[in-house]
Amino acid sequence: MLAATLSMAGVFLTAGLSKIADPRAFALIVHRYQAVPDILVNPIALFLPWLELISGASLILVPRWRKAAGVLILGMLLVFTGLIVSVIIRGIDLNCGCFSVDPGTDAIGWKNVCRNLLFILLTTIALRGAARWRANQ
Amino acid sequence: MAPTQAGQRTSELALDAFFILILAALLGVTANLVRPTPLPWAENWSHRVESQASALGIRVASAEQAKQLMDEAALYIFDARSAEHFAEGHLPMALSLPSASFDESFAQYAQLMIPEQEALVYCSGLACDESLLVCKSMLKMGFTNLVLFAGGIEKWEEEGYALEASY
Repeated sequence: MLAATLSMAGVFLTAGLSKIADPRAFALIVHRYQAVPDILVNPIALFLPWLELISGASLILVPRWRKAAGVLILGMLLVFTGLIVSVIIRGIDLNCGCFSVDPGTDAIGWKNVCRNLLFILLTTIALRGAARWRANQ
Repeated sequence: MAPTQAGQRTSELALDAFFILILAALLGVTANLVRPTPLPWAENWSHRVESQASALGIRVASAEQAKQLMDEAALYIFDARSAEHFAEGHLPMALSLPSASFDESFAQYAQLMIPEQEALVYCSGLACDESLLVCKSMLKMGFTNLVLFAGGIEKWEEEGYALEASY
């Protein structure tokens, strides 16, 4: 459970930091997913990376928030996975934007879905640990 | 766990999640405010490709204008989508020039073109910027007589024009 918690914290800290550094590039990726109205693209690009960062940090730094952070991370992973599947089905060519806003990274594919399913499993394991900690308080 | 205890834990969980969301929102707003070039809160993304193309001196064509150009002029027509999408259906006489592999793909065409050669570039539609990326790359190589058909395949089909398929 500790390994799962540390892994997911690292994943989301990395994911958040890369996008906070270049919100315009991330906004372009959000737009290219063609999943939200134009008016929501920039607010999402500004808010989501910080949610990833704080959720990831909370998993290891704020024991009281650990379970809530885990739930939020699980929710984000489910949404992201659904979006990736949608992009694949709609035949849209774009890079994931999951850990890098560099347009030169590999295009989205089923490997991204498999990776996210692994993350969902790890988050579920991390959540069980957080629930146990909470129950002992 | 007693129902009231479970309810209390759920309320605490919801409250903790709410605090995380609020903190993320506050930090997002603050970080953007202190940025040298803040990201605007609202932006017209639908016409972003067209406005950027115009700023670069690239002509922008509607579906009707693109069709007229193709009927009347001798120009190269480049499809900036992936090779797979190109094969499924493309504008008549178009050539595949995926933006993801521009350097390798354009080499074969660059040998046949002069810098003044007119070329029309498109991709899937207004939300796609691969055509703009290809135009930018062609501009860097000195090909300046470019036309961007921003509406792409979507607008072409909306107008009722036919596509060709490679298989």
